[in-house]
Amino acid sequence: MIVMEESGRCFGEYDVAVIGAGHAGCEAALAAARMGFRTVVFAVTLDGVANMACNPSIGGTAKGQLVREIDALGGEMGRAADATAIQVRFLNRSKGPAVYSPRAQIDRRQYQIYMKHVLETTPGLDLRQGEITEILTTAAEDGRGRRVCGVVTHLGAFYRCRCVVACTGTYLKGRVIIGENSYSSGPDGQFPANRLSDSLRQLGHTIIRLKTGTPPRVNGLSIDYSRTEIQDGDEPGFTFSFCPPEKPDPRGVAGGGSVIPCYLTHTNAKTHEIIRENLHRSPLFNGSIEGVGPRYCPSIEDKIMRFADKDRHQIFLEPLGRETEEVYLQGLSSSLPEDVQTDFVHSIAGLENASIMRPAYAIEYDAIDATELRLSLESKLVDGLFCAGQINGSSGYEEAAGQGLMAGINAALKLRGEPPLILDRSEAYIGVLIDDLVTRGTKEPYRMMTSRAEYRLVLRQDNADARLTEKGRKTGLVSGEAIARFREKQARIDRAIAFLSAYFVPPDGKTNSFLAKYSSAEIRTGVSAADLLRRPELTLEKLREILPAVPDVCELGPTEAEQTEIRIKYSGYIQRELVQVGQFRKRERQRIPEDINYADVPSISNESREKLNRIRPESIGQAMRILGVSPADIAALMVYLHKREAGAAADAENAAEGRPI
Amino acid sequence: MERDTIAAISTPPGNGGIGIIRVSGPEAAGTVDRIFASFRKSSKDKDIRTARQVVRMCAFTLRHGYIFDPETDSGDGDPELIDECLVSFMKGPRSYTGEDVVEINTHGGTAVMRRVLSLLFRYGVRPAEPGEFTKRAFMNGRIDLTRAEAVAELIRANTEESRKAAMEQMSGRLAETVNRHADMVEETLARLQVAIDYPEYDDEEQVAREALAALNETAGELRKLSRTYDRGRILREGLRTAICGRPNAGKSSLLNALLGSERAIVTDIPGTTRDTIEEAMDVAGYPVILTDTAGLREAEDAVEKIGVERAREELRRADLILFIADPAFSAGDEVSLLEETVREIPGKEIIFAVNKTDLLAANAGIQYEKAVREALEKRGGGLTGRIREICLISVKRQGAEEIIRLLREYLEQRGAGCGGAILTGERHKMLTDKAIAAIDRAAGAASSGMPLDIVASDLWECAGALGEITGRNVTEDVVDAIFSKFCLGK
Repeated sequence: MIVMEESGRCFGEYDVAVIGAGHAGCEAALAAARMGFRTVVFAVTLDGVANMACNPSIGGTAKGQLVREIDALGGEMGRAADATAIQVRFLNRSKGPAVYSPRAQIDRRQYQIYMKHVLETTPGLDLRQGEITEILTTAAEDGRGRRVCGVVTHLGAFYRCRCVVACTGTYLKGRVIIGENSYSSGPDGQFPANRLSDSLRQLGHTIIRLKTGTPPRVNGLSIDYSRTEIQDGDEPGFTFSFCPPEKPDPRGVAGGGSVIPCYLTHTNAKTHEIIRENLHRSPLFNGSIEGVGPRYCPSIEDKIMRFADKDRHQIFLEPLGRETEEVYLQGLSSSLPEDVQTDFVHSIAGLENASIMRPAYAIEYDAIDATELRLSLESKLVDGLFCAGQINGSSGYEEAAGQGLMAGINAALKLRGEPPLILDRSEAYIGVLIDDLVTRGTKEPYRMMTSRAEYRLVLRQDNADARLTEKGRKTGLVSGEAIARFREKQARIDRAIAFLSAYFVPPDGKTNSFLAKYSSAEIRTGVSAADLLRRPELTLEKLREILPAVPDVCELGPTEAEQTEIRIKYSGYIQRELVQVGQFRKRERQRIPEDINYADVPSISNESREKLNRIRPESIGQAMRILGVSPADIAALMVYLHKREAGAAADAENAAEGRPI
Repeated sequence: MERDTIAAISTPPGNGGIGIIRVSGPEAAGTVDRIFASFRKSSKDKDIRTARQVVRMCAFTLRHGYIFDPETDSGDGDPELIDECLVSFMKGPRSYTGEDVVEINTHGGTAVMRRVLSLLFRYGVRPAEPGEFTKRAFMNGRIDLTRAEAVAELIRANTEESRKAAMEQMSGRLAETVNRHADMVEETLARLQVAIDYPEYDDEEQVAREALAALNETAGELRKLSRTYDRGRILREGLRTAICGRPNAGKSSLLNALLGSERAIVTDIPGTTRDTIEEAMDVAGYPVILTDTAGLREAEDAVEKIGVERAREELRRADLILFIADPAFSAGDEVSLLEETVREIPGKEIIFAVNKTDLLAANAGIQYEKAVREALEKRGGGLTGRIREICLISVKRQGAEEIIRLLREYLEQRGAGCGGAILTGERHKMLTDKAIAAIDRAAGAASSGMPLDIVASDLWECAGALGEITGRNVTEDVVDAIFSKFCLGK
């Protein structure tokens, strides 16, 4: 049992204490404070706030969608990235609207400065340096289980609080491994947090061990870029934020900051030979790493072993910022000894004389089994304890920030006495992410991918505001200005769609010569502009050549035109997906009461009973996604629930009529 | 309250005198209306397809009419009629399930009922799961709690049973085949997804588009598989063998001899059998449904006329036609009678049995057979390649044994044809067709220049449908394939 005596001095009383100020912790703390609750956020070192311990970029496939969702809900990540981007690229432009993904290279240090300053200047939010070693709990008011009541720092300082959000990243019992060497450490040379996982374990949580890694950083002045390929940005005007400031931050490219390119080089036979010869010195292969690493982020030695027939691998050279020469070697994640790293880096074109500033390392850390959390990210075991980010088994800044935001919002909603905000799989990538983690758990660090979302044509980056702004409004995190701008934007898009659907293009010479110009089949009868827009070879931009200059079309901004076009062009596909969404939601709406006793449910298999009891799904839909629960068990569960409901109704009726129950 | 509409045959399997198809759900009446007309209109008056009879019916009444396939044309501009039937309409909540229920009373042949069901499925109704009507009845408060407990058990038992049955079936060639196709689709999908999720990974898009081309082959294979459903049905429900021929050719005697009983009324008055008679027998472990049809000739009285019409209908339903020739007529006459009879019933294989050879002189049988062959050759046309066998039999002298031998041969050969994967379940067939439709859409989208994510969305649907057959978790599979087949990451 946890010691409850408030032995040390109380250093403060808060509504919410956030443990960790990484990407999850920052969002959690900002959300709770902005929703009006006294919040404190702890970091092992304040120089590590919002640190990008791995690649210096934000966004990318599926992750770009996450950032836009965070922004639509009133989170900070999008604005921070806009303010500090040194390059923006739009990925998958040719591959379809569901998967367009913005990605920005970020000035890593500026990002930290930006985020730390936002924390410092947010009313009701205190930022403190300190390692939290223990979460204090007390008996819950209802007599069932325990609830959090405070946290203790490594110096013994005690803070009283009503909710805790644990965003511990890779700090918990962090151990860095480089070749034969390993030592206790947090990420990027920070101190680890060695005691908090014991506290979590004592509170009943299952602790698992995960692993991740990062490549070396070299001095850019020592790179021969002439032997590499330049990778420039596109669309410098893009912002993640749906409501960017009138006067954009001059540090970001959207605010006029200079664009810094990345470069591409490749490994070669020599590189592979060096790695193969030294494999025996890799901790991954000699068994000294126990944590489970992510498959999507294999080390270079892993890639060479598993894909022996591939004679080269891509290496992207990503600058860490404007006022530094450090360059991140994407693709060279490794846990080989430092001397081997030096040799294989030097074998690569352009990196022959590269001066390594920080070696690559693997890091192992403690996490919890996320199936012990509710969809609100609150612990099922301890009232008022929320967890977000890598502690839940996820990986990536965006995944962390998305969870942090939701945990912060839900801690605040809990304190308000309101039901939690839960996004389902058809509403947001954030919903897919949390549902996957909480319903199925993960055995390796979980990365968001478009492949994991069922309703990708609905969950686009361009419409994240349409999906989530109103939800953000209800929490109070979205500013009035952002809401007004959003509604205006939607109205303009709706008007444009209405106009294009109603406007008939005549089958005359002008139209057909226009069509011929774009190798599009001629028309013999009048068709709507929307029908023409559905042709793959035509775009709204092109159609403007033959459309009348009406304000409904002319006054569309670029992002509005984009969404108008997507919604018309892919309407058939989107409609089909919406039908599936309807069926999905029907199952999500079938709630399972929280107090259900699975021992009472007749005729379900023992395996399912055990799983249902452990995961305690909140709806039939969620129950169906638990691995190993069969459709027959779901049917039995549904019948049981109906019976229970009918029984309860009958009881109520009897009670009302004064009959004995 | 469930939102979708379900249907199933609710009479016991086999060929009863009447067969009932129950449809339950919000779209029950609307869907039946698409395939039901309470009277047959002439070809001039074509609104047979839009006649909305059922939705306007008074609840708890019956209506007489026809089930038709609106997407066919029987030649005169009218759609093909499937069966004459009675339709009853029970309005929810005062129905068995508590929802709108329509029951279609057909003439009971399994083939007819399956056809009607497949029409319903085409228009958005889905097959009911075992126990689902009862489950809905319970959910809608139509039956009490004690019964509900039993239902829970029943649902579980049934689904477990069918799951087990499905698993057993799946352990064989079908699972292997479906899995092979699913692998192909998932691998292509993994390629598309790599191109999408790892946009900087080499030239994956090109590779992905190439992989799509290979899916044409998969689509073709799936089409073949879908067609085996019919063969699977034969093995499950029996080979429908229609015995036909001139009046008094000895059809009923043969049937009786085959069955070893006096099922059909045998007289020597031509036209004794005025209705079709249906009997099941077992040939080498395969079920065979024998139907004895009225003699084929210009009918003289009204009752017989109906019999002849029935005979033709039965021929249409049959899997195999057993034509009994009467050597009292010339070989040429018999061949033209056969040709006339099957002209509108293409594709079905025919056994041409010359009966009453005991009455012929020593060599006359062989001569007659030769004449039949010559006549067939001369006529060609509709019969080319359809005559499986010409045999000389005498019902009185072990003719039935000879026919049984031929049936066994036929079944074994047809069975061998099914030695590969066979679709037997309605659900599997529907999922296979769904996969085919999705793959076709994907191919169409790819060739018309649609972006990768659209193509991928169709392929996900295809993989999902195939995955449902074998119970794979497609998302996990594809994610696994992405990581095991492609070298990705930082």
